[in-house]
Amino acid sequence: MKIFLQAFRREFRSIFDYAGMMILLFIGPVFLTMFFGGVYVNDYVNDIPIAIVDEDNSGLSNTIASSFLSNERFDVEFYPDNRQDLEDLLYDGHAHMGIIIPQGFESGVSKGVPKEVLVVTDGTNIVVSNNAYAQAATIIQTIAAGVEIKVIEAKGVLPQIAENLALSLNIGERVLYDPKMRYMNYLIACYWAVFLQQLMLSSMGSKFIRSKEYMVSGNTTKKALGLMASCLAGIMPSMLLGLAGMKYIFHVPIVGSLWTTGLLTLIFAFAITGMAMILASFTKERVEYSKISFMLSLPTFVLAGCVWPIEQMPDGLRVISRILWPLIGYAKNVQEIFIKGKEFSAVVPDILYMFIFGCIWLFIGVKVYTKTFSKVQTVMEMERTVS
Amino acid sequence: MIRSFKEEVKVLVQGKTNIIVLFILPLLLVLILGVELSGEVLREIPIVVVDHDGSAFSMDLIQKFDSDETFSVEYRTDSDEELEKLIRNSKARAGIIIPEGFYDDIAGLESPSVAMIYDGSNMSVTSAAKAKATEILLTYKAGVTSQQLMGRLGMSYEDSIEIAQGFIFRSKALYNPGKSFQDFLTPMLVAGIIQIAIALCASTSVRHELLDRDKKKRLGYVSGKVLFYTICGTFMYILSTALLATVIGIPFRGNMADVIIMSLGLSFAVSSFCILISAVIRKRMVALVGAGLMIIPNSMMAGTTWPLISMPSGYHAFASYIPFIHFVDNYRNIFLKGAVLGDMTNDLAYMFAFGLIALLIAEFVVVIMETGKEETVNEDISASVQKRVSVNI
Repeated sequence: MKIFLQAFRREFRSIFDYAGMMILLFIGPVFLTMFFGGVYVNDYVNDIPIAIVDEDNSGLSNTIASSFLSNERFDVEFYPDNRQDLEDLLYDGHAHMGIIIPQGFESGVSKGVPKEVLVVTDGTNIVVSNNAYAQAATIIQTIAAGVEIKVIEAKGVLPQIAENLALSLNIGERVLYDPKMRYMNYLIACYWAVFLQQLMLSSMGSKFIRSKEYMVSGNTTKKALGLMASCLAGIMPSMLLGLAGMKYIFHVPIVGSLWTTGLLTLIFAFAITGMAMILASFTKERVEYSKISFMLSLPTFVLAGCVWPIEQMPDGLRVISRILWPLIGYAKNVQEIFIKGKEFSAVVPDILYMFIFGCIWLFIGVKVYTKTFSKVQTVMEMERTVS
Repeated sequence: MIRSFKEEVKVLVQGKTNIIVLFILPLLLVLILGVELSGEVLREIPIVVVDHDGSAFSMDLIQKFDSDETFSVEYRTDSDEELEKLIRNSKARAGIIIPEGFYDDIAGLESPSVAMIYDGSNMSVTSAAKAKATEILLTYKAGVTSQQLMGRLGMSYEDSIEIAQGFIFRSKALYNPGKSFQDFLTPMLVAGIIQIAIALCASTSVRHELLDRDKKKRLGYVSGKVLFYTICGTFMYILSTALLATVIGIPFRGNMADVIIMSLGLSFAVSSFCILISAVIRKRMVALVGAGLMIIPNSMMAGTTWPLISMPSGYHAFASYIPFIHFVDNYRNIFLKGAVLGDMTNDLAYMFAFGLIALLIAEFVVVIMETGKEETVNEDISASVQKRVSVNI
């Protein structure tokens, strides 16, 4: 414990010796959270440019066109004459969605032989495409229900019964935790977790390389843990400020337990300590170390379940990912604790996983680190003696 | 210029970090994304059912969900609270609540409500689940309405179905008909990591100690490096594109020659800009962090995941100056739309102009800059490179 505290004090004080380290730990998390949060500050994809091909030019087709025109999600910018022109607009990216109302649409509906309305989206951007399609479906279904009631009424049925027949079944819908389904809520907590990973990796790696002589003399494991704790203590105020920014500036609902998040964060920092030592041993230079740690941000992010759900990954990849990098046990849990209030009992398996991961890789990390840097130190001492 | 180019070749061959950063990690990401998103669409989303009715009718509805490949009925419970708890702890991603008296209400034209509950914390799962559940429920509803019309008004099956549908509404996603996440996301993420790799290596490539020694050899020094990283970047884009199209199976409808030309443009722009950073900032660590901070967020700013049209105007305006944004949409369009070079000449011209301006400034900075105060080394260029490499090893 004494060695741990000694290392903690030493490394914590050393943060203030380097301007770069202070910027990294004290400003980095807040800046990154605010910068990335700004990207997602708008709730929805609004004013999506769309085109309407109205081949019918009837009262009903005008009703459909007007519904899109008055919807804030869409900006009806084009009325192409034919389907080929619409396709050209989609190809050029001028429009993201097109509505095709076929000729004879209204007469077909009134005769009980309806023709189909076609919604064409530009599938190259699924985020825009899904948003546009979901809203278009709501608009068209509302109009379709009204048409259905009128057609049944036309068969000589009383209006109330016609309505009950048409609405034989109501479909209620409730989206829990994030009813607006904001992209901000979906991603920013995962980013926050990745920022912690990257900044902890950078600061720990930098210290492991700078303080190699101190680290290899004596109990390296305890010193490594003291160093990790000093970086975590240094970064936490800024991480918490970032969290406050998420809650009060970007209005991300943070409903879960901060104690559970804190425990997960501590265990995650412990889990990446061994990896930082291995990377430091491999690169030996801060610049080279930073290059690799920066490059790890994207692969680890896509493997953490933030982009594609963990349960949808192939089993083999999930196992390999768990063996090689612990972000999979941290990022998505943090997001779900924040947004849903995921309970402590549900994250216990991941806490255990990260703890075991940390123990194994710390053991390996210490072995590799002491072996590498003891050798380097010996060579340097020999060089000094020769010179 | 040639000497500077050779210097980078030597660093690459003798060192190991640049090989890992420039070649191995981007290829690893191609592999990861290829395996991770191989499902392309979400399947077997775990759902929980609360059936307060327990009739054959309600069981039929549940069966419709279970037999659809998008859903898997993993839990059945009697309590709405238990349903919410299962969703809160991510055991289930959606739930169905069927009310008591569901069958009787349908028979009595009382319009009962089936409630779909979704886990809003996971946008990709929820949007897929909502789209599919709505489709299942609307089909089911049309069936129920059709039965009522046949039973009460004596209509034929065909007539009742046509009326029950109101009018038919069909959707079609051009260029990505399966709405594949893999096709949408993989080219953009791979394009992003290659850009980052070029930026990180290029931003630490100018060795000021060598320039301090011999002022006469400064002209052309940065051009050699720009040439080297432009070639490396273009090579990686070609290799990754080939892998994405052949091994991973992303539809490639365009022309490889167009990919090569666009990749040259982006690699040139990023290399020139990052070497300018390296020329201006003597401390390699600071230059690296500076380039990292400017280039890594680019992949987000460029609308990779969140469309540019939805960003605040300030971000939007700033993003339009980023070379990556002039590349990435075109790159994806070459894959999915079969876009041709004629559609992207403005973007190509912008990237080359951006790169050229950055290169000229970098050359100017290197030629006029004062000798640094840091101690200069005595070795010649190759010895200096050798020293750097040996420290690495």
